[in-house]
Amino acid sequence: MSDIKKILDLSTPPAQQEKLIEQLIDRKFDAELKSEWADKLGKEYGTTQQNDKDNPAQQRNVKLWLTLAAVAAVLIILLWSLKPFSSQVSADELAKDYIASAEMYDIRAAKGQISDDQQRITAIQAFNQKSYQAAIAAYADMSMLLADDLYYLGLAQLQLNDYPAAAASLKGSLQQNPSEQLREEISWYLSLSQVLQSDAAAISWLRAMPEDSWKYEEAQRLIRALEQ
Amino acid sequence: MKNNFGLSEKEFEQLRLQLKSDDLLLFEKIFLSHFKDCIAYIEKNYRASYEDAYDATMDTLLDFRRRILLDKIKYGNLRYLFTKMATQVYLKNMSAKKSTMTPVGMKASIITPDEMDISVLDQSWPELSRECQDLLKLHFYGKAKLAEIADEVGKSASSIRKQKERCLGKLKNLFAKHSKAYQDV
Repeated sequence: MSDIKKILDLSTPPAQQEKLIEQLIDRKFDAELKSEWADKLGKEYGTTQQNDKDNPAQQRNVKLWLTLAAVAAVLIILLWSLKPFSSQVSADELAKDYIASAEMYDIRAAKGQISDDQQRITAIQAFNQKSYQAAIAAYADMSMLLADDLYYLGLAQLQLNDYPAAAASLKGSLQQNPSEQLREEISWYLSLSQVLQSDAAAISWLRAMPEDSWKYEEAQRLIRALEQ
Repeated sequence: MKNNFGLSEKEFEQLRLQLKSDDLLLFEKIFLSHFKDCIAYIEKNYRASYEDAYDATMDTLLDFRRRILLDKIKYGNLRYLFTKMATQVYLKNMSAKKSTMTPVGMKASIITPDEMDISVLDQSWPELSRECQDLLKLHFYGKAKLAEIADEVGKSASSIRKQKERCLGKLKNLFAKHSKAYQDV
């Protein structure tokens, strides 16, 4: 007998009916979450439901990525050894330094991705002219913010030292399923905003940064500074 | 901290609070990045196929989320606990798989009672009001107590209890309406 028939059966006690409804709702949302996670695992972690070991094209890709990662690691080590490093630098100072030295430029207009949304163009132009307050105001006037908009809004707030607002915007951007590359950039700046708020979650985000990540070395320095 | 997926006790409590407010970001960041390790462990120790190990890890992840919400998981050795749970789920799945195999020559039924239930729920759910959907999801799937929801929305616990009863009544009416098509199942 199906659970729904038991729920509709008047002889089933109400507490049992409720339990059955709870189980049904669990099954429905578990299935949704399962599909969402399967998608994320495939796109962000390369873990698919089918084993790709037997796929030669996949193997070639893995070898290529491993070679690129090895080259990147050697370059990072070389750069690291040339760069003076003080263990006395605090996590806050490091995070501020990383923000100050970052090249922040919204390239969407240059790429021709934006053509007809005047409000968005105003926000992008203000951002690129480092008029962060104006960029924030322009984004605030927009009715719908895309993942990229929320990302640049978060960066503008970060530049104005409004770390809680920056973290909220960056989290909002993450929730909109951005591209893998953008996701990595969002995660990096989100962890910086958390470091600057003394948010304990920062270290988890930094530790989750994969070794082939573009900011892996910087993340490791921040972790060491946070652990000191 | 290595035994706890790099989480300190304070960070784990934060993760639990975030889950309670339906924020999955940190949970996903931590556990999806360790998903592959768990598959490898089950494959290696139980000679499991990749697909079966994947399914067991996924089922464990869902159960882990639920147990954290129900405060049934305490900080300690989370990695060990997760792996242990995943192996139990794998063994349970394998035993269920054996007992539900359809003998050769016998046709599997067109729709099972389980499929019917989910289909009826999927048809009924969108017809509930947004308020009912939010309340029932938060209470049943988010494992939030009615008093916690009342605090969150600034209403009294008794009004939330009445609202829940009304929503359950509406859901049952919708079940009755949509299950008519499956009377023979």
